[in-house]
Amino acid sequence: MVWEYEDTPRCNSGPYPWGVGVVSVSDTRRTPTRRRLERVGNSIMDVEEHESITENLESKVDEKDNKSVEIKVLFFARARDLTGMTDMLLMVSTGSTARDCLNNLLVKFSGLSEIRGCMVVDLNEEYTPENTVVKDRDELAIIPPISGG
Amino acid sequence: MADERNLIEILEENNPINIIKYINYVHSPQCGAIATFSGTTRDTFEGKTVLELRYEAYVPMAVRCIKSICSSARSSWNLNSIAVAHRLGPVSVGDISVFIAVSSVHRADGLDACKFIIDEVKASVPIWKKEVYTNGEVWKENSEFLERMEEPGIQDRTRACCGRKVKVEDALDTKRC
Repeated sequence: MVWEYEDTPRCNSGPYPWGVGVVSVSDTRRTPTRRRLERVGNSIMDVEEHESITENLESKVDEKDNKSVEIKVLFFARARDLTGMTDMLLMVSTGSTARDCLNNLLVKFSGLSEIRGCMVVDLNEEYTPENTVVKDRDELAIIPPISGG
Repeated sequence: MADERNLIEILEENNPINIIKYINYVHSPQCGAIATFSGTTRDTFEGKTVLELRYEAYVPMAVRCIKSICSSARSSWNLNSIAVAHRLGPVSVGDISVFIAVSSVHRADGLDACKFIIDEVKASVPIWKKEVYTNGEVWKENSEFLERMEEPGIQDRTRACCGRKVKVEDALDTKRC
């Protein structure tokens, strides 16, 4: 299986929920004049259709206590080793920052202190300062020192 | 300005990199040069015998980061097409884990952009590798990332980095990202 992007717009999340295969989307940096799909693997789905369906589902928001927000936390590499988890949901007070979330996680997983000094956090797939306020349904990723390439 | 052509692939495990595919992708009769970089698994590190590297990634963000790097490269050099491929999962000694191909009218642009792209990948793209030895395994940490973290304004941190590596005794990690 291959994740392949050819000048693709942002895709909602990965791996693709439909699980397998590749979607290759042509350059859409200007007004798209066409879309094309390629089968590489076992599935084909139009990305725009999927995004539309996803948005409709996400619009049905459960009412939550407005004093708290719930975020999804992702653990990678060393962080996953230290917590034993790939991801979890975390409830924090409204107005909490990414740092507040980290402090919360350090209480839950004291082992994270090993990398506290050299990790960064991503919020919704972007590097973010720790003083950023998190919102309901944000995705916070714990990024230990990277080693790609 | 011609449409920009960038091909970014994050390959799931057990999918080797086919460099001809990417060279063909960037190839253009308008271009006088195709510059490439291959990152390969070395057999030793600080005297220790390396069995393999194991890669994992925060895939959606990794793709976004690489796209951003391509845009940055284009803003600095005159480029035609760019292809970047990175493997996930185990990569054996001698195999290619990351491949970059850049085409340009003149070679200087392609060569410089190629170096820039790999340097940026190592500094900012959320991909991790674990180096597996005969007697243990270690999560690697790119110096390019650590140096970038220490730049003012990147993160609002005051504490120093916790260290270069963390050793994990025995092959205990069986979890997949």
